[in-house]
Amino acid sequence: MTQKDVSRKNYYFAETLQAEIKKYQIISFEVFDTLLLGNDFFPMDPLVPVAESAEAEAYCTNRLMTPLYKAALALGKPVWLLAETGLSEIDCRALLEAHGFGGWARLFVFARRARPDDPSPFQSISQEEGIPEGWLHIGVRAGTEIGLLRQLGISTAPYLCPRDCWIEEQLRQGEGVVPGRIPVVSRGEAERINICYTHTEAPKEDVVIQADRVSMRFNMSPEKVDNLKEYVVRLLRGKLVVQEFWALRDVGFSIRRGERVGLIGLNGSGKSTMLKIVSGVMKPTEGTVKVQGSIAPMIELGAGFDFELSARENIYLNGAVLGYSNQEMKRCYEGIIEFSELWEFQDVAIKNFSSGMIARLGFAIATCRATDVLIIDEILSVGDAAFQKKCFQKMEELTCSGVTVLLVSHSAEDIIRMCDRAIWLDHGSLVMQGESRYVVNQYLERLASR
Amino acid sequence: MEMLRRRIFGFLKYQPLLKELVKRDIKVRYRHSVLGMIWTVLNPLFMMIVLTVVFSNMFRMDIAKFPVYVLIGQIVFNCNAEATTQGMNAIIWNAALIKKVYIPKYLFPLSNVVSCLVNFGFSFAALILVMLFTNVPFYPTILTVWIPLAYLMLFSFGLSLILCTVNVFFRDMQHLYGVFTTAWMYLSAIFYSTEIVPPYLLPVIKMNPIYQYISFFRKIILEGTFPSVQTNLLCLAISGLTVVLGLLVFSRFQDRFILYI
Repeated sequence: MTQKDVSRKNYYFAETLQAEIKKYQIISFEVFDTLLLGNDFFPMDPLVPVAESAEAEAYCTNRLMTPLYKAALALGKPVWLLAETGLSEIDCRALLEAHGFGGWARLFVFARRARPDDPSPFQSISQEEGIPEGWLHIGVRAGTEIGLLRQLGISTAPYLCPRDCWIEEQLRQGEGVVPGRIPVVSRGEAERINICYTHTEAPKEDVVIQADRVSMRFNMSPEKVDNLKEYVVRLLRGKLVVQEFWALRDVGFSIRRGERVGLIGLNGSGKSTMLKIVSGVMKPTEGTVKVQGSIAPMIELGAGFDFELSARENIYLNGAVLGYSNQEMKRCYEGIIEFSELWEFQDVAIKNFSSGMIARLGFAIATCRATDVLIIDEILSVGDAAFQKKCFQKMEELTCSGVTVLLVSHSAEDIIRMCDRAIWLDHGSLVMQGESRYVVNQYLERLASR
Repeated sequence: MEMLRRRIFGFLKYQPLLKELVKRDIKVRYRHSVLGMIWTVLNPLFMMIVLTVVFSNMFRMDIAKFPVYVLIGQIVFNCNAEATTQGMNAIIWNAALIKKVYIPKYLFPLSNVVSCLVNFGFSFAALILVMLFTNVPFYPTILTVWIPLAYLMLFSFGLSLILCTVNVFFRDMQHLYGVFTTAWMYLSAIFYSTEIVPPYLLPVIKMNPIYQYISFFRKIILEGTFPSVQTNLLCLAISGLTVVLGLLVFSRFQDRFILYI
């Protein structure tokens, strides 16, 4: 049973959920960092929306959460809005101070307490202050609340994740939205969620990619010998020296279903080699990589496309490359054209396409069907801002349905924004893995100190 | 057993890809030509006309039903030559894809062999036309044409596997093979009969697998006789051995392709 099926089964009716809310003293909602500070996707004046409570209601709650938010307020419960900012530690601290907030610069989390009779603005939560037992958190992504829970030392907290991507999915399938029904992604002890998240011990059945002591050795000859004459000449002269080069050394990690993991590191640190090993293109010299389920590699510009063929023909060709059946591709076809916005160009040979168009097509094909693992290697740097926004949204949607994303990017910002977890490689060995923001900051600090 | 099951499952899973690759091969080849697919029929026809004019007027070959005789040799030889030449480059030309996505790599040479099989179908239509125009009688044995065709395809696939493996490591193969196919063509008795061959060369020609296949085709189409069990076993053995050897070589080295392409 996939995560999706599980989630679909665990619907909560509004009444049940309201009863749930009654049980807890404090209810917290997660707010997108983007709502607070604005970015390309949701251009917004920093801090304004949340500072005004009416708008906070509309934004924080991500549409679906609004009824719950209202219910919580109606019950007179204090509501915490948790937000995660996408800024660096220094920027964040400066911004918070400029607006008169203290707060958790370390985790970049701060909260607002909203109560009908309490018009106080943001209030920082600190460890000393603590938070009472009995907390119900309704969130979108694990990042924010887990950090908070950890800091607050809270051991029990049900975690609900209503996501509007489910509703969108239902709309698309013509099922319509059932008002007040909310799917639950994960619900359990805070500690367990925490464990899953930080990955010290993920439940076995949930591990999608398991890499054990992976090493990869390349033989480098000073010059490439690829014809017989040279080979013989060198062999006779005894000059066939081979230099060993370890692109990866004893790298191990495990990735859980639905996780978004970023690989960071300098050029030549072994990121792409790792991706190649995960996708099965290369076999590691030592160690093993086990992947549960299907993999959709995001095909780089050009690879897999035949430039003489039209977009339509390439869609079928590429779908076949990814191992999708013809019927599946027929079903997905409209969606792919829709997503890549290539209606007028369906029958144009793609050698006439711009690089952005090809990137859009590649992304649309790779994400057209729910696979278990999606691999993305720097492809998002192509495409314009509008398309990148679309890609991010699509990826959010996919991860919600249990797709695991493995991303390689040089942009620290992208990793923080898109990944829950980051793995830092340096010269083929694993330096650090953990919460993306923390790892990326450590990485940037190391770079700066060089 | 488990391994075999996985292999078969993998092959079935990638069935659509094989189809798409073959479709692409055929589409791309004739994309910008005015006559398009008609060329698959016209090509062997023109070649046959040229060879017939040259050899029955200038060299005075004395072979009955010469146009059909030449055309059979021509399309059989070309089918193999095309399949193997393309198959040889299959891995290198698809390097971009192989580097990025996991695909069973034998699919690439296989797709070339299959698209040559499709081409053979068109050429065969040309052959039927020529037979109609030149009043060559049809024998019922022509219906068994799929038997030597199967031998031929197996042989081409096996040879492609070996060639593309070698070619990945030594690109010189491309140039060498070009020369080799020319020599091979002259030793395949395409436009002459073995009667004019000096006795010391005869064993060389007899050892040539393509010659065996060509004469098989000629027997069932021109003579209306089905070759002996012995000939069949010989052809089957050649094809089977080539495929087995090809698969062995290919699977032995395929994991190292990625490092060289």
